[in-house]
Amino acid sequence: MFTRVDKSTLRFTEVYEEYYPVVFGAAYARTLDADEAHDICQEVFTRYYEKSAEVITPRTWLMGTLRLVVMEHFRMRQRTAGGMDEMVEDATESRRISFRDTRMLLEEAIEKIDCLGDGKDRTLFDLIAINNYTYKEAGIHLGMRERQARYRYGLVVSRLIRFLEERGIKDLEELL
Amino acid sequence: MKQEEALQRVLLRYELAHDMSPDVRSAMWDAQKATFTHILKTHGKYSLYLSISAWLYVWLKKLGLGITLAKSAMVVSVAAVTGSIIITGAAAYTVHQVFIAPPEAVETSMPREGEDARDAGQASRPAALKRFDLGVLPFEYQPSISREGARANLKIAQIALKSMGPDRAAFMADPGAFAKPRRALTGSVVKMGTLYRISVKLVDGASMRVLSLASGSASGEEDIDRACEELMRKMDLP
Repeated sequence: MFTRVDKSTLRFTEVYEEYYPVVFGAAYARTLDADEAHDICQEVFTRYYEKSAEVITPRTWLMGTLRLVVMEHFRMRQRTAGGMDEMVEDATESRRISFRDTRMLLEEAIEKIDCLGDGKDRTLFDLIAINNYTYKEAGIHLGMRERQARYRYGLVVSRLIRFLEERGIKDLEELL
Repeated sequence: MKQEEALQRVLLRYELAHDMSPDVRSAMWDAQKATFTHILKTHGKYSLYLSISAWLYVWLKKLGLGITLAKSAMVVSVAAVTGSIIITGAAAYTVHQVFIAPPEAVETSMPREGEDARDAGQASRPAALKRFDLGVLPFEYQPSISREGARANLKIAQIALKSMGPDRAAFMADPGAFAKPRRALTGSVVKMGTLYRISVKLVDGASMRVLSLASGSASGEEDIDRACEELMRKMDLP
């Protein structure tokens, strides 16, 4: 009954538990359908399980694979390739340059969160800021108390704002 | 808090955030469990052990204890081994108590004949509930002749123990502390002037029927021992 669990399965389980809500949130943002997001997540993590030994940075790998799987998903639904790319890669392709530049700047700032924190900060940010989780829900997911999640999220936001200030954005209101 | 709210508005404005309703989040939790099981079953890695470890890992995270899955698996292993030991031990103990070991005697605080009262509190003595062939019970006598009465009682007991041996006979100062003997030897001492009238009777323990009866007289306290020996000869205990 109690067979030994190999290291790769243990590692997969930890990565799965940490990143599933993030991947699901990203999939849901693209499909706006919980069932489709569920199918996409299943495919992404199945592929991850098979490649987990070769993956160095799970988050980057998962998000890249997610884009690929979403594209395949829409292709299966016989959508046009052009429309699909628009949906997946960047919904603001045709908008003004300034909008795109600001968005890229924000994406860069969000990417920097991981470099400054201990790895969990980025997941915390994704859950609260991007997927609209409550502090309590995010805390449960990351093994923190609500108070700890609130405090850490405050630090992450402060770091992100400091990054933007260094790039000339003194007040977030300027971006609205 | 203002910073957080402003950032949220900015992320929504640039389509970097999206609102995920509580229903969708709830569906996500269900999907997460289902997908996990599906992937591991597909690859033949799903086991009860991993399932319990993962459950413990998630449960501890919900409590705010962020331990690794490896540690969680270790806790499950230790708990499984401990549980096995406890169950095996309990089973072995039950089998021993119910099927192998004889029922233990009830512990008593009463000393037996020939034993010191200080031993009374020690380990239980199965012999205390042993059914003796003959039990010498306390005699009846007036308080004014308690010394002489006790002397006669003890002499009778001494003779009985000497003739039958300590395995078959016992002096039962407190009859309630002993199992009912097959036969009981009881008696009385009465002072009549300067004489002491000693009566002894042997009673069947089950029916309380008097089996034999004898009586004799002692001319004084010093004559009690002789009178008792004569009485016991008359009783002719087997």
